[in-house]
Amino acid sequence: MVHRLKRINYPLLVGGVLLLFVMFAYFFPHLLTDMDPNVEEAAKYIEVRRGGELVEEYSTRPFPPNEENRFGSDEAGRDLYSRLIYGTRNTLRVAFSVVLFRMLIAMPMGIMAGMGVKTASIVINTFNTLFTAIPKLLISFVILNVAYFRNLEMQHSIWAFAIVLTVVGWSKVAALIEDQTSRIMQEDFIEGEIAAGKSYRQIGSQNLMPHLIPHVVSYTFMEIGMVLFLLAQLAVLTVFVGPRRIALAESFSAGFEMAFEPEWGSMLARAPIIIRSFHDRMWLIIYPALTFFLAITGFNLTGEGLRIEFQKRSSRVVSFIRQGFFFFSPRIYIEQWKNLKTYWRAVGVKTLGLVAVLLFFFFPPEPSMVQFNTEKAFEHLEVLTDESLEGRVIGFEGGRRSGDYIIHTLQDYGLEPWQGNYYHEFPSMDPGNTGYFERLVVEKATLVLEKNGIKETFHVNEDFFLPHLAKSISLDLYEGNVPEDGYTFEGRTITYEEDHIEIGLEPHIDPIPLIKAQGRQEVSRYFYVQGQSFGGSSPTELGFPTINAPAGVPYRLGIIYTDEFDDRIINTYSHTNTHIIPFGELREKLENADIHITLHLDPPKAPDYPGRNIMGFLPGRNWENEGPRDLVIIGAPYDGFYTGGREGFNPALSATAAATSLELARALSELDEPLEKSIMFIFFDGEQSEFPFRLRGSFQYNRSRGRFEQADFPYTYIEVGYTGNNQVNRMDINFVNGKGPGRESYFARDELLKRLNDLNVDYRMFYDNRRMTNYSLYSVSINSEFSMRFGGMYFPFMNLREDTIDEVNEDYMKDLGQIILDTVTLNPLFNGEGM
Amino acid sequence: MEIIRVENLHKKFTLKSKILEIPTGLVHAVNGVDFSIDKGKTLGLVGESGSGKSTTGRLLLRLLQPTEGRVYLEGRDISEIKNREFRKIRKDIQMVFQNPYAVLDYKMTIEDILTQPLHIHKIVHPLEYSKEVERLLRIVGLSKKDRKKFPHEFSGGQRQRIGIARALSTKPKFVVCDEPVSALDVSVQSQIINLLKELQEEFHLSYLFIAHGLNVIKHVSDQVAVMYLGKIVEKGDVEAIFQRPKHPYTIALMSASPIPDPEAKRERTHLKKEIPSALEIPSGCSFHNRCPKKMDICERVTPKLIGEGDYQVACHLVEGVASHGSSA
Ligand SMILES: Nc1ncnc2c1ncn2[C@@H]1O[C@H](COP(=O)(O)OP(=O)(O)OP(=O)(O)O)[C@@H](O)[C@H]1O
Ligand SMILES: [Mg+2]
Repeated sequence: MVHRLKRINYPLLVGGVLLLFVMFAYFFPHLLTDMDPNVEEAAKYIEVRRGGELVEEYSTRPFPPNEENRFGSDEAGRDLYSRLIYGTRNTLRVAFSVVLFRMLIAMPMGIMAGMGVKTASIVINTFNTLFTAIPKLLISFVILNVAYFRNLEMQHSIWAFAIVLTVVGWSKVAALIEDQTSRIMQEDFIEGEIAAGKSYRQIGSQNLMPHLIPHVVSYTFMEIGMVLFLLAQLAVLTVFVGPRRIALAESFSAGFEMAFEPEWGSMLARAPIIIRSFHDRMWLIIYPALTFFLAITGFNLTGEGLRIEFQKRSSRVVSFIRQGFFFFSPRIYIEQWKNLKTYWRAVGVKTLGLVAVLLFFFFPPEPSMVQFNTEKAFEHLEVLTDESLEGRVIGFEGGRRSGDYIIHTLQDYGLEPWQGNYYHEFPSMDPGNTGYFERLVVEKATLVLEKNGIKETFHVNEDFFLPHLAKSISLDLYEGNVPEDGYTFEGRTITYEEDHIEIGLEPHIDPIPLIKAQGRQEVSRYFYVQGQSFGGSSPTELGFPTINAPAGVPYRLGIIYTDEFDDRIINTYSHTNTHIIPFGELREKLENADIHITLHLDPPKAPDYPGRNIMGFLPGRNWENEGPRDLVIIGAPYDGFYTGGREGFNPALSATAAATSLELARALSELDEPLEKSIMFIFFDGEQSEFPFRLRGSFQYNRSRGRFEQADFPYTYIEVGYTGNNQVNRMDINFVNGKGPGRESYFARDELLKRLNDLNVDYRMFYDNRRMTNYSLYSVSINSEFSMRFGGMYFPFMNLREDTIDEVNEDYMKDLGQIILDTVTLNPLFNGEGM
Repeated sequence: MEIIRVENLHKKFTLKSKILEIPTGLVHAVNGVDFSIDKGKTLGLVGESGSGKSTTGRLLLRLLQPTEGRVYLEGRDISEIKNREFRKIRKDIQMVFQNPYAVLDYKMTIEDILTQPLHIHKIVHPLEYSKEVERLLRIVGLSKKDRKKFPHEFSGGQRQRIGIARALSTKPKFVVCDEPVSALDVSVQSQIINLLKELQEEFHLSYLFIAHGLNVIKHVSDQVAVMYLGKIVEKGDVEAIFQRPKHPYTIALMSASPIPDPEAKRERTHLKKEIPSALEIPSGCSFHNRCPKKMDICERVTPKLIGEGDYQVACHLVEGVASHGSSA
C-alpha cells in the first residue's frame, strides 16, 4: 500500500512535460523562434550539413531543413518551425473551444440524465446513435468544406470549427458523464445526504460534482487530444481553420490553396500530394505530424495522470475545490464584511483581489498619447479641395500651390526639412522614348448631340468628365504635332444596351459602329484578403473597364457608360483611348440610339512645373547621436485631377490622405518628448496616375534615394490612404511583410490588431507578398523593413460629381488617423524598446 | 406526547434480474408494523439480521416509500407532506446509519461532512461553522484536529461517532439509531451508548434504537419491540420484556445474548436452523419452523398481536393467556 502511494505517476509526469512545452509555445512563441512565420522566400542560399561540414547551397522553396530553417520551409517558402510554434495558439484555440463547448453542453445534459431526467437521456442517446452511424470525420468534412467556411477570417473560422465539431461530438462525453453520474448516485452515502435534508440540486453540487470533477477533468484532457486528432484528419482532407491564399507552386503548373495564418492542421493539408514524392520533401509532413502526435500524447497522458492522481484516496483536490467555493462565496464575503472586526484580514485580501480582477477585465485600453483632430483635418481638406487649386494636378499651378500649402503647414508645425529641403522635384514628363506626360489639361471641351436636327451643347466638368486622354494626344504634344484647333471626334450611337454601352469614334473620319465593352479587366495577381480570397481580381473589389482598341487606331474615344458606378472608380491616367463619363442630363440623353455626337477638345496644355514630393522631418530621440537607425516614413498622396476650377465640382476623396497626414504631423509635432524613432512625412505628387508608373512621386522618391542610402537607412513605411466616403464602413489595412524573415513584422501586426480591437475599429486586413508594384505602397515598401497602408486607394464615386467634402467619411478618417498615431506612439515596435 | 406513530406499515421490494430488470421475486421486508414513540423516550427494535429493522427505520424517515400503511410525525401523515417541506422537516428527524464505512462521502473531509447540514438548515451563522464543527466533534469525543481528515483515516468507532455528530448537528427531535454500536467492541459500545443517553437527557431526544442483541437495548430503551421477518412479535416496557418474556423468539434471543449479570441465570434455548429468507416467509406463524414449542396451529394460523396497554405479543402459546400474563 505504501509502495503504491509512493509510486511515481508517470503518465502525469510525461504528459505534464509535453504540455508544458506546448503551453510555452502557446503563450511565448516569440521566445522560441526569431522568424516571422508569414514571410515567404522564393529562393536563397541555404547552409546544410554534408558529411559533418556546413556547405552553402542554392535552393528554391520548399527549402529542406537547413541552418536558418531548422525544420525546412513549406511550399510558399515560409519557415516551418516558426509556423509550428506560432501555429500552436491557433490550433489549440480550436481544440480548447471545441472541448469547452462540448463540456458546456455535455455536463448539464450528462448530469441531468445520470440523475434520472429521461429527456436528457434520450437526447444524448439519439445524438450518439446518429453520430455513430455517420462518422464524425465525414460529417465535419462535409460541413466545413463548404466554401463559406473555407474563407472565414481566423477568429470566425475558429468559431465555425468549434460549433461544428461541438455538435458532432458532445454526446459522447455526455454519455460518459451520464454513466459516471448514475454510478455515483448509487453509492451508499447518497442516502445519508438525503437524510440530511439535501435537495437533488444540493446533492448534485455538493456530492456529485466533487466525485465527478476528477473524471470530467480527465475527460476534458482526453477530449482535447481527440479533437486534435480529428483536426489532423480533417487537415489531410484539406479542411483547416483560417483563411487561405492561393499559392503558386513552382513545381506544379496549377496554384493551390494554403493557409495564410500559421496553424498545424493546414500544414498537413498537402500531405496526400507530398506523400507521392515523400523521399525528397518528407520534412513537410514529418514535422507537423510529429507536433500533432506529441501534443495529442501530452493531453492524453495528462488526462490519464490526473485521473490517477484524483483517485488516490488521500487526494485533497476535492476538498480544495470545496474550500474554494467557500472562499469565493459572495455570501460569505458579505457576512465577513458585517463582522469586519473579526475578519478584517480576509476581507482585506478578498477586496484587493476583487479590485485586481475588476481592473484586469475592465481595464481601459492604454490611452492614446495624442488625439487625432478630425476638425483640423477637415480644415486642410477645405483648402486642398478649393476650386482655385483646380484639382491639384501635378505640374500645374494648382498642384504647385497645394504643395506650397503643405510645406507652409509643415513649417508651421515645426517640422524640419529633410537634408535641407522640404521637397524633392522630379520631371512631370517622361523624357524617355515614349514621351508621356504625367498629366495633360484640356481647359475647354464641348460635346454636341444632334438628333432630328436639334442640337444641344454640353461642357466638360459640368456635364461630363474627361478622365483619360489617349496617349496619342500626349505624343502629339511631345512632338509638337497638336492640331491648332484641337481634336474633334464624331460618331453616332447605334445601339443601346441596358447596362453597358461604349461608343467608339474617330476624329475627322466617318462614324464607325459601336464597340461593346468587355466586362472587368482581370488583374492577375495573387494576394490575400481577409475574409475573402481572390485569385485574380483587385483587392478593392473594383475592376477597370477594358477597352479593346484595335491596334493602329490612334484617337479612339470611349464613353464609359454604366449603371454600376457605385462600385466603380475612375482614376485619371494616360490611356490608349480618350474617355468621357457623362453626368446627369447628358447621360440620359445618350440612352438613345441614332444620336449624332461631336466632341471637341481644345489643344491640351502641358505641365508648367516638375512634380514635387513634399517632405517634413521630426527627429527622434537618438537622431543627433546615432543617425536615423530606424526611420518611420509616413507617406500620403496629395495630387488630384483637373477640375477646370468649376464651381461645385471639387472632388474631395483624393485630398483626404494629405489632409489626414497633415493632421498627423500636427499631432506628432505637439508631443512633449520626441519619439524613439524619427519620423519623416512625405506627400507624394502624381499619385493619381496609374500609368506610366515611373512618373509617380512615390516611384521617383524611391529611385532618388539610391541603393546605398537605403541600405544605411532602414525604415518602416506607413501609408495614409484615402479615407472613403459615407458608404464605406470598414477600414482597409494592407500589410506588407518585412524584407527578411525577422519576427518584428509579425509582432507589429499583432500589436496593431490588438489596438484595432481596443479602439473598436471595424477593419479588413489585406496581405500582400510584394508582387504588386504599381502602387506607391509597394514601391516604397519594397525597400522597407515592413509596411502598412491604412485606408484605400479607390472608392465609389471617387473623382466624380458625387465625390464632395460632405460625403467624406469622418469616422473612417478619425479611426484611421488615430490608429496611425497610436501605432507610431504606442506600438512597442515603433516607440519603445522594441524587440 | 407521541413524536412518531406508525400504523400497519408494509414494505415490499421487488427483486429484479440484473440485465433485463425482469422481476424475479418479492421481498416482504416489513409486514404490518405498528408502534409509537413518546417524546424523550426510546423504543428499542431488536431482531435478527434481515428481519426488517433498517427498512422500518428508513420508512420512518421517508427514505423509502411504504407499500402500505402510514407514518405520523407529531400527528402529521408524512406521506402527505411535500418534498420541499419535508426536506426542512428532516432537520428534526435524523438517522445514525448502520454502516459507518459506506455512509460518509469519502471525498469529503470531516469538516465538510459536518458543515453541510449546518448550511442546509441554517443551524448557525456561516461564520460560526468551524466553531460549531469543533463543538460537535467535542461532543462525540473527537478532537478538533480531526476536522481536516477524510473518513478513511478513522477507525470504525470513530466513524460511527462522526455519523452521530452529523445526525446531531441539526439539533433533531427524533433520531433513528440503526445499530450504532454493533460494529464496535464492547468498551466503545458503552461509551457511545452513554453518549447517546446523555444527549437524550440534554436535548430531550427521542430514539428508535435498532439492535440485533437485547443486551444493548436493555440499557437504552424505555420500550422494546422484537421483530421477526417483518413483523413485531412482542413489544412492551423494558422491564416487562426482560423479566417476563413470553414469545419463544424473544426468549431465544435473550439466551443468545451474553449476559453481563452473572446472577441472572436463565434457561438456554437454542434456535434451530437459520432465519428463513424474507423471500419465503413460512405460513402461519413465521417462526414456527424454528420454534422449540411448535404446535399444530402454528403452521396454519397467523397469531395476532394481542395484549393490554403497552404490552403485546403474537404467539398461540400465550393466546388468551396474555391478559393473565401481564397481570401476573
Ligand atoms: N433495497 C432493497 N431491495 C431489496 N431487498 C431489500 C432492500 N433493502 C432490504 N431488503 C431486504 O429486506 C429484508 C430486511 O432488510 P433490513 O436491512 O431491513 O434488515 P435488518 O433487520 O436491518 O438486518 P441487519 O440486522 O442485518 O441490518 C432483507 O431480506 C433484505 O434483503
Ligand atoms: Mg439493518
